[in-house]
Amino acid sequence: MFSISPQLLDQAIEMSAAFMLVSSFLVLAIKRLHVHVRLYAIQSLFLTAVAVCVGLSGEKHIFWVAALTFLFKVIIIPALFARLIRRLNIQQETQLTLNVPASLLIAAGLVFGADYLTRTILTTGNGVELSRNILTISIAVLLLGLFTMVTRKKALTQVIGFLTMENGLFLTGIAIAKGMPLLVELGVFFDVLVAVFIMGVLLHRINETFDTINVEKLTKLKG
Amino acid sequence: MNIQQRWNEVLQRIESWAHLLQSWLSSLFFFLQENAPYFLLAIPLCTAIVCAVIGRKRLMEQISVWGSALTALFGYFLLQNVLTTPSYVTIQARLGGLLYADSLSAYLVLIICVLGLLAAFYSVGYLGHEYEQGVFGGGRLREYYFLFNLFIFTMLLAALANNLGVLWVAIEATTLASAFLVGFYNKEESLEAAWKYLIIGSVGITFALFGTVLVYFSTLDLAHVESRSLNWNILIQPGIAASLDAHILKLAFIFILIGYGTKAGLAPMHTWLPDAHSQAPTPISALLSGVLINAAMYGILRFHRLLSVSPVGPEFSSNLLLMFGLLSVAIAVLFIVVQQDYKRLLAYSSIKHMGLIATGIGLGTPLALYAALLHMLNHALAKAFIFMGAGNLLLKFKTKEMARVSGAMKVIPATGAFLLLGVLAITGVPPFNLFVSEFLILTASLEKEWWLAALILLLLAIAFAGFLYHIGQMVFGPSKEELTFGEANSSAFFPLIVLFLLILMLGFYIPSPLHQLIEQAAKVVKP
Repeated sequence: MFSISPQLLDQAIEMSAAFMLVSSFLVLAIKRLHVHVRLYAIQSLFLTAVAVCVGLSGEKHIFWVAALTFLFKVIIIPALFARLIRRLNIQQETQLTLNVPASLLIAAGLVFGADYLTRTILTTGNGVELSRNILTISIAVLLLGLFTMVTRKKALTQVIGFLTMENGLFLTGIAIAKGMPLLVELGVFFDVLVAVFIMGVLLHRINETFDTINVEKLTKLKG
Repeated sequence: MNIQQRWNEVLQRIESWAHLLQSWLSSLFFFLQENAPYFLLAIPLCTAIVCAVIGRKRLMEQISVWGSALTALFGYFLLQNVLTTPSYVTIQARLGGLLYADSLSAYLVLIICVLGLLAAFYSVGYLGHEYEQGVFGGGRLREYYFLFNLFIFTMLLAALANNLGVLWVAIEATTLASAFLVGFYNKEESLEAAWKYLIIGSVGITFALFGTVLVYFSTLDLAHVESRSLNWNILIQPGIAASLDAHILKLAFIFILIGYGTKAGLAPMHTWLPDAHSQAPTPISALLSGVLINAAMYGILRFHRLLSVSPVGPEFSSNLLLMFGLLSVAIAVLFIVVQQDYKRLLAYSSIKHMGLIATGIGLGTPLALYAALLHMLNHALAKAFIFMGAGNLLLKFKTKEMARVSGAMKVIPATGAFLLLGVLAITGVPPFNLFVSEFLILTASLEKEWWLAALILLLLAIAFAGFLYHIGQMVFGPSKEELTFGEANSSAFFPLIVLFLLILMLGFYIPSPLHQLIEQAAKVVKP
């Protein structure tokens, strides 16, 4: 088997991770729903790339994770969502509670926050630069996903936000916390898949009952 | 002579058979007891699947109740195992270290089994009544019994998990199993509640997973490769815990506390809880409020222990728990006073009690830990009791608004009386059980800071006044003319009476095995 220098792999990992962050930003900048789904698929593709690089650097069982990520997050889940969008006949634009420039500014602030956080944490011990960068991007993607969920009103975008958070988390899980027990990773995968499935079914029921999937209409319960 | 000989022979043979049978039975018993954790997980899972396959009302009810009873039996075996082994870390890790049981797990298993069994009983009458009234069709009943048992299974898995990743998978699975149960009635409100529950719960739990991954990350510096693990029993070994990275662990605990705290109903992440707990069918409300939030708190406790033995020390996590606990009590009490819906009222009371438990754990003295753990059981029993009483009220009055319920005492006197007793119990009036644990928590806080005790006492008093004001109007007051006298769900009396007797008993004395179990569990939290 051909060998690749570890530095190159590390750089490839960092590069892919950076692209994951970029796609998180794009979700905030673009309003069209089916683009969100595609961006999610692209982000997952970069996650797959990270996993493959980690696998090439010697952790063989990560290849399984890469395969699963590709299968579920790049193909199956986006396909399900595309179908859901068609079937529910959702109008394309999401309404925002915050306009795009403001959300991008806040998002940038979140990334700096994440950077500051990891700087204070990883001063001692694990002071490998790669780990710090990945951890920063991981936390940033997590926070951006949460931010997407909070500011977008379409229930579907909330699900995308949730899945983005999950991607951020997997980045750390794959790239720096190498070798989580495989069974645990499988369990996590299964849980996420079931969660998405249940969210899809609930979306259907919400759409039937409310005639909309705008979260704004879900305001009966207060106090 | 000959007959005598024959007779002796026969006797001997019978004796040897009896001996054989006895040895078989005892080895079978030993086998069952030894493998209690497996059975504990297998039985609810099988029950769920069988219910999903069968789908006939009477049969599902029978299977669900008997399955819960069998689960409770194995819960008892596990309890015996844990109690009879002298040291507190008792049962070795199983299944390659994925499963594990000690006193703390056994204590949670006890809570799950008791309430699971009673809720299964209660479901038969409650769901049966609604089914006859045509609130939902037969297919939904099958869905209910499948998810109900699956829900119990996921909680038991959380209790018996050793690997912190498995713990996470189990707690996330509780959300997934119960989301459809929350949205069971398929009305606008219940769907909204289910959506919020699923989304907020999933986001919270994502944070918890990130925390778990960070814990694993903190083990990567360890010299021994075999000690890199997510297995709790390995991580807490002094040699390994001491060499974990303190900074990363602190960050991890913050994520864990936010994550599992969301599911435990700690303020300010509690916003899904009143919706979900009030919209779910009553037996599920009882399980969510009584058991599930305890299971989430159990997850926090495991990490709390890990941090206390690591270089971070116990201070950090204790202070955070204390802060979140007090905040939860304060916010919950405010909402209790202004509440208009009685099931939401009970849900906010759950947040208050979880706050008290977190406060007790945060105080961290042996007395406070004992009190907090005891409070878990006490609250679970009392909350299930009052939820079931309120469920009977709901079946009769068909509204959750307090303003539209009055004169319960005249229409359904037994339920009215149970409700009143439940309110006294849940607000911590002697001689009921919550008084004991609340009093102990207060005593422990008094030892720490006098103002802390004063603050808690003040909040408890306000909650008490609010509760009594709300419920007094519902129970007494003039009755509505259109309602005829008579209970809507009399079969609920069995679980109600059992719960009442337990609440009363724990108010007077704590049986010594239980006392021993809680003391050991407190040592698991803080050795």
